[in-house]
This record gives sequence, structure tokens and C-alpha cells, in this order.
Amino acid sequence: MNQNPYPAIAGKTSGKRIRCNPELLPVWQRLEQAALRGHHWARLAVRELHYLASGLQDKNNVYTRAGDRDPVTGNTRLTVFLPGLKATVVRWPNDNYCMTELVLDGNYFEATRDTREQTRMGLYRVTPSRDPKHWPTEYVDDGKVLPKDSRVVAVVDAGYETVVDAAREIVPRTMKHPGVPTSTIRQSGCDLHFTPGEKRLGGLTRYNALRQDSSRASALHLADSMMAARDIPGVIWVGDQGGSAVVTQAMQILVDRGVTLKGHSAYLYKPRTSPGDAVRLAHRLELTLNEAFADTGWDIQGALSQLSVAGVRLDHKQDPYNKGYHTQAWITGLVKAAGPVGVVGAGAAAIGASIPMLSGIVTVIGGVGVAYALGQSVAEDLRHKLKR
Amino acid sequence: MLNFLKYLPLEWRKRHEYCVPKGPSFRWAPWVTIPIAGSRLRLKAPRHSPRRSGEQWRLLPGRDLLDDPRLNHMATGVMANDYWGNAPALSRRFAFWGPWMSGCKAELAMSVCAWGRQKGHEFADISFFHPKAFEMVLVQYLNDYYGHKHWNVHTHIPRWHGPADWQRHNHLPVFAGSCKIYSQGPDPDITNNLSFPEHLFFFPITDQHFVEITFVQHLYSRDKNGDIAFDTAPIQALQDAIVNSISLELSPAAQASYDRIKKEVRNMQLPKEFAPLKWPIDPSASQPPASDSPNTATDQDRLWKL
Repeated sequence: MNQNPYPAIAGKTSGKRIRCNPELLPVWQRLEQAALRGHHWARLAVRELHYLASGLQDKNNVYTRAGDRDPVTGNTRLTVFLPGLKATVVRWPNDNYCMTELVLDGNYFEATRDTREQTRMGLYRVTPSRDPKHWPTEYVDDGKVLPKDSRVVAVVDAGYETVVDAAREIVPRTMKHPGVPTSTIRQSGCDLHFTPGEKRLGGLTRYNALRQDSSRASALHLADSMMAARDIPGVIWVGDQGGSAVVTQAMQILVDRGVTLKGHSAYLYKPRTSPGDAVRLAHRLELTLNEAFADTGWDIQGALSQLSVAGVRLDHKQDPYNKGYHTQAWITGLVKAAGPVGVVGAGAAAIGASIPMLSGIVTVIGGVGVAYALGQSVAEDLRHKLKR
Repeated sequence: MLNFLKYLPLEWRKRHEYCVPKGPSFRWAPWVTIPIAGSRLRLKAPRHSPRRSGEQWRLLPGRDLLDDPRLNHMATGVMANDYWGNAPALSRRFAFWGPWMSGCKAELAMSVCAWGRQKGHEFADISFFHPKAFEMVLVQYLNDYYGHKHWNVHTHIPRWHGPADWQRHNHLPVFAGSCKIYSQGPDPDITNNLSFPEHLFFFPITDQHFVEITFVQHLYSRDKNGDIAFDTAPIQALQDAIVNSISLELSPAAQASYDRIKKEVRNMQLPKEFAPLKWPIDPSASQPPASDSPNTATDQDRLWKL
């Protein structure tokens, strides 16, 4: 009997069989060895590949991307992003899959250099230190969040050289977000999820979080940490700038798995991807949200994204968001910063929206209440100016 | 002038090629004076120039560091127990920039603080000016700060290794020592898994307090293989220059204590060798000794035998 020259690596007993090219077999075996030695993330990668065998389809998963067709045979190709490895899987006509390319990051699985030099992807514990301006970090081998009530986990952007660099900038900022217990962080620190990389995630032209490739592996790490932290009460997941891409993708992975994070909460600071998408996922995960879910600052794109999902938030019974909250906050902020009445118009025009348009948006969302708020804040500001 | 333009503190195009970065000038650095319980510690350090905006920590002028005798407690988990307290005096960062806006290559973080025992947990009947007692205090401190941290409850691999490269210094009116503590990776089978040293410099300042000056070099620019892609000599040079500029003027009370001990103990020197301690320790092993009798821990036995 002829033995199939392509050895099977997953799905041998059930699900779809995944084979691999013979020259890739030693690489795959090295991965399995690392998993057996107890490296948490190697175990995760092997487990995920087996999981894929049971549910492999051609549509987009968070960490797989259905790509083009193979030019020679016309088979569909799938790219799989896992922590420390990137694989290309081709679908054969007999419904078997074959891994044709496997790129393994050796440094990652050996966990030497990157861990010591604080550039490894994953979860870190941040603690206060003898120096009040320094936040030392320690890598957590199994990616488990500290099991303390209301633990804060900050998910940071890529583009920082080391975790210590990121922690120094992020932690003082995170302490001040609404709903985050400042004194608890000062006393026992927080956790931090780090994504290495040269470029920041997301951005104006890359606003859809679910299409970002550079953060898919990191999102899988984070999803694993989130699932393990399900039973810790009150965990707050904070996405800082580009970290919103990782948070959104991780939430999508959890929604696909059917997991909920009841009692947890999330907040996005200056998200570089659409917060509207994130809110929809947050509802499905049964997260408890504050009225302010994302601080988009002066960003028009962010504000519009939040406005667009306002209807969804209003319909959702558990969401405390009420009519006009978001618009009121945005406009009030705009007015207060801009100063007296004459400048309000100029300020708004500078951003590209004129006052009539603003009130138009306002009436679409809510009723009379919000318009009153607009008038109120203008008058309030004027009174303040006249007192001087 | 050309240097100023060549090494602008901006990051426009990051390059990871070999270069010699430039940090703040030491020649034009101002002097910092820190009064600690009447004694005056003076050192020359450049102005705070971090890579990203961040404040420095400094003592307000006109105040003594130990005006308020209560010391800060450390956050939970930072030390093995709650017997220590500290008073931070100074914390600055100096960024080193590559030529022609090729990015920030490294940062040197400096921090000066005074340590002592919390009320109720003092080391009874000893003075930190006694060299042997100070050694014991140092061992206890290093064990409590670094020694208790490990990677895994099951494997007990320590996160830190040290003290290494112990040197004693004689340019101050009291004895002083410096050492390095290396960060250890989680895999013991890999040789040379030490990196990221913290450089510590210690000396006693009163009978119950000592001063610790910490330097950490953060190196940012690495090439494709992960090796350091620039010359680290300027950073080490700045660190050495600051350490050499330290001068101390003891208060009359501190000087009297020191002289009193000098009469009893002729040799006021720290030991020449200080071997790395055995880490991780069991947190319950770091109990404060009731008196200065050398019976409570094997490390202390080893010290007294020297």
C-alpha cells in the first residue's frame, strides 16, 4: 500500500485532515517538541492548528486570511497567523488541506533573547518600583491575568521598542481613565499586553480592525488571556491607541468561540480603529460598559463612528448609554475648548462641521434635551467670559 | 554647533546601523545637592532629558530628604516583606540620540533614594556605619528586593542574578560599594541567559539609613540578529562620570557615629569579594534578626567568617 508522501499533522481522527509538505515536517516536529517541553505558546499554536482542522472553512477567521488562488493548480490558499508562526495552507480538491509554507520564529519559542530584552509578545505584570517614575515589567509565562478583583489590563500599540518604554508612557495615562481604579494601580500595578513591531497599528486608512494582519497573532494571545480570566470579577480591558485593533480582534475571536466575559469592562483611549465595531462586539460579549466607551478626542472619524453605532447602543437594554450622551459630551467638549460664542463657530468650522450641521446631528440622535444642552453649554461659557 | 544639529533629539528615520550616539553633555551639567538628615550629597548630573516627555522626580529645594522620618512603603509584591521603606530623592532619564535623526538609541535612567527599616522592624543595636553590619543589611536588602522573584512556582528559576562585579570605593568619607544585578531568563539550559544589568551603588548615611544610587541602561536599537547595533561606550562613560562626581559631606552627628565605630573597628572597609547570592529565597526566610548576633541565616554566617 502506498503511503501518502504528505504526512498528516492534524485532523487524523476527526475533522478535516491537514497534511504538510515533507520538508516542513522537521519544522513542525520542532514545534510539537517545544509544546511538549511546556512552552505555553507552542502548546497554543499546536492546539489552534488542531482546532482549525475541525472548523476549517474558506471564510475569514480572525487569525486566518483567505487569500488568492494558487496560480498553478487553482486551489484556494489560506494564511494562518499564530503566535511565532505564519503558515500557508492550500485546499485540495479532495477536501484535504496541505500546509505548504511554515515560517517559524525560532527566537520566539526558545524564549531567551526576547524575554530577557523585554520585547516578547504577551502579557506582562507592571509593578511600581523604588523610583516613582519607573514601572518595571515582568513577563508572565502562561499569560494569565493576576486573579485580583478589578484588575486592569492595558493593551498597548505596536511601535514601542521595549515593554518598559511602553509601560512608562501608558501606565500613568491609564490610571486616569474613567472607571479605572487609580489608587489600586498605584498600590499593586496592572497587567500589560505587548505587541512587538515597528509600525503602529490601525490608522486613518486602516480603520477596520478585523483586516489588520500585523496584530492577528497578538490578538490570539490576548484572546487566550481573556478566556483564562473569565472568572476574575471586574477585569477592565483598556486599549491604548493602536491597541484597539488587538482588543477588537480578540473580542471577535471570543465571539466566534461563543465565550462571554460577563462582569468585565472595556475602554478605548484614542482608538486607531473603529470603536463602533468594538462596541458591537462588546455587546455580544456581555461586557459592562460605561457611557463613555471610547475617548476619541477631537477625531472626527472616531466621533462619527461612535455616533453611527448610537442606535445600536440605545436598543441594547443593558447598555447605560442614553439619548444624546455622546453628542452632548462631544459638543460640550468642543465648545468649552473653543471659548466664547464667536470662536465656537470657528472651532467647529476648523474641524469641518458647521454649527447648523452639528445641531442637525443632534436632532437626529435625540430630542429637545440635547439641543438644550447645546444652548446651555454655549451660554455657560459666555457667562464665564463675562464674569471676568 | 554642528554637533547640536547632527544629534537633534528627533526621530525621523529609524536606522539600525552602527553609530556612536550622543547624550547630554556632562561638562555643562549642573550640580545637584541633596541634603539627607543633615549630611549633604553632591553629584553632577545633566538635566532631565528623556526620550518621550516624562517628569523627573526631585526633592524640592530647601527640604531635607529625611525631614519626615516616615518612609514610603513599597507596593505589594515588590519586596518579600513590608519591613523596608524608602524615600526617593532624584529620578532622571538621559536619552542618547543617533546622528541625523536616526532615532533614540538608548536611555540611561538614574535614581537616588534612601532606604531604611520601617518602624517596628528595625535592626536592633546595630549601626549601618559598621562594615560588617552594613554587609548584613545589604544581603538582607538584596534578598528582599531581588531574591524573592522567580519565574514559576514549580521550577523556581530566579528572575535575578547577583550581586556581580562587586567593587568597593574609597573616595567618600564612608565606605561604599557597587555591584550589578543581572536579569535572568527563564530557561536554565541556555548558557548566558543574563542581561539587562542594574548598576547599584550603596553607602550608609545614618545609623539607620543607607543611600542607593541605581543606573539602568535601556538599549533600544538592535539589528536583524538582535544584537546591539551601536556603540554603548558613551552611555557607560556618562554613568561612570556621574558616579565619580559623587561627593559627600557628613553631618556632625553622622561623623561622630562613624568615628565612634572607627575606634572599635580598625578596618572600615567592605569585603573585597561578594559572591552572588543564592536565589530565589523563600520569602519566609527573610526575618529581621533580633540582634546583630550572626545566627539567623547561612549568608550571615558566611559573612562573619570573612
